[in-house]
Amino acid sequence: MQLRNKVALITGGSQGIGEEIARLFASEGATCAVVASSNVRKANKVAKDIKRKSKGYAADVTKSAEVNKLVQKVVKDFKKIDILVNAAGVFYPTPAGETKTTDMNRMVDINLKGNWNVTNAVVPYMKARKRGNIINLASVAGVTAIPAYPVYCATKAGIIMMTRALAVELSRSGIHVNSISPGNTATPMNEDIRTDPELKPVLDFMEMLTPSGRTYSEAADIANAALFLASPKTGKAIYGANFIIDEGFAAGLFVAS
Amino acid sequence: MRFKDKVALVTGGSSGIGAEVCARFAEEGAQVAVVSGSSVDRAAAVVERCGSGARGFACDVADTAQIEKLVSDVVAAFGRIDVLVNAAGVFYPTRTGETDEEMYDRMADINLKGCFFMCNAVAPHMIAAGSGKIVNLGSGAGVAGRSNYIVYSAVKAGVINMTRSFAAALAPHNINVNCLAPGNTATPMNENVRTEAEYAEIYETIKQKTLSPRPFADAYEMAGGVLFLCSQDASAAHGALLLMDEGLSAGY
Repeated sequence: MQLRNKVALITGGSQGIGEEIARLFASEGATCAVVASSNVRKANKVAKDIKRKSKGYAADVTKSAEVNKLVQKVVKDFKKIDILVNAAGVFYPTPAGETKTTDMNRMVDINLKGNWNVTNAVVPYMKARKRGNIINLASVAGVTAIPAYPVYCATKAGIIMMTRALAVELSRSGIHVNSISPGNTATPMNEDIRTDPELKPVLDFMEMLTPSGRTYSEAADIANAALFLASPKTGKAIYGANFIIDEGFAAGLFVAS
Repeated sequence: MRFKDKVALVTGGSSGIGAEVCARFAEEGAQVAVVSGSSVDRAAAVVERCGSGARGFACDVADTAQIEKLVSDVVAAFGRIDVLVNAAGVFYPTRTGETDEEMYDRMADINLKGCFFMCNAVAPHMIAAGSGKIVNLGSGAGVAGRSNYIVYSAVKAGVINMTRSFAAALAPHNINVNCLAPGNTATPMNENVRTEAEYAEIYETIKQKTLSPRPFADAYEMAGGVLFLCSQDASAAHGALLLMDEGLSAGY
């Protein structure tokens, strides 16, 4: 029980990596505020499933007014927020010359601005208690480039540096800020790549670049790393780190032999 | 008990972070080969702390012949090597204009060459077994520069990137190779920095630049990071850098 009596707010908590983190954190004793972007029923279902008095919420992270209301509500419900996991994000190709401005804006708004909005709203409550732990879900695409996803790569690199900058700003206030960079991880966000025959070339490309031979990690692999960072027992010395969990995807040039 | 009946070889096992790594592996059920850089006697205290499953060895990792002998001795004693932790290292200032070739060579031979040849000697056994875990000790100094510890920061940067190359080479064999980068951690290696007047200025700088409220972390926590990377929970991590440095290299 590494997170006994902790309250964790998890955006993107109703599916994929965010959901898996909510499940693991609850199994370690945490009460979770499970946040979905719009479908509160999906968030409620996860919250009901993981127990510990967890609750579901819906908030569009791109809208700061909505986010502020969400955070106030969570604090009202649970008195505090010990852990914030920013897992909300979108993933789709944005090839140069073929991408609409609206698609570019949507990705930046959700992946980068949305991350910032939630952190900006939660930090005052953490500062007041001189403690807190923020985990941002970045991506291996923020460390190494993949073709056809330039905006995704840029937003995730942005998260990694924002994480470090926030660590510099908040560490003396007792707040840990770190990021995790997953590689390919089997979630609904990339189900199309794993199943759609038309996207088979993308899948083959990922497979070719994965040294471990396990092209897609499980969401549980990423949740384990999040728990390591969030637990006071193990994460005490960690500030401003970017923990890459990617099956060796970003390790470097890899020639199968 | 995450490591029941696993065999862990830990260089630099007789003191500091390596000693904590040995003790925590033993606590979780592993049989530990505790390696001292100078003599088996130096490893005795840690071997005793680890209990009946542990044995002491001596090996100067700067000497490849000694590495070959160590690895065959450990395999003879335990039958296999499931986990390799390269914690052997030296730490001393190599200031500009005040550093001779011998100081440079010793630092590079132990911290970088020693790490490479340990991996080089152990990996074939892990490949034959079809699995393995390797953790190399990097350093926050390998991520950002250190004006007084130029060679140390260079070789630790080398360890970090060498880890990534080994990861790419060994991941297909189901061997996880990762790096743990401690920041300032209270160990005998830096006792002078923490206690001697000659180092007061360096100590003050560390105190000012460390983001968290404490300038020196505990070796126990670093061992926790090593065990995590060697555990089933981190099986998707290949070539990762786990930075546990109190925010020292995040920025200013």
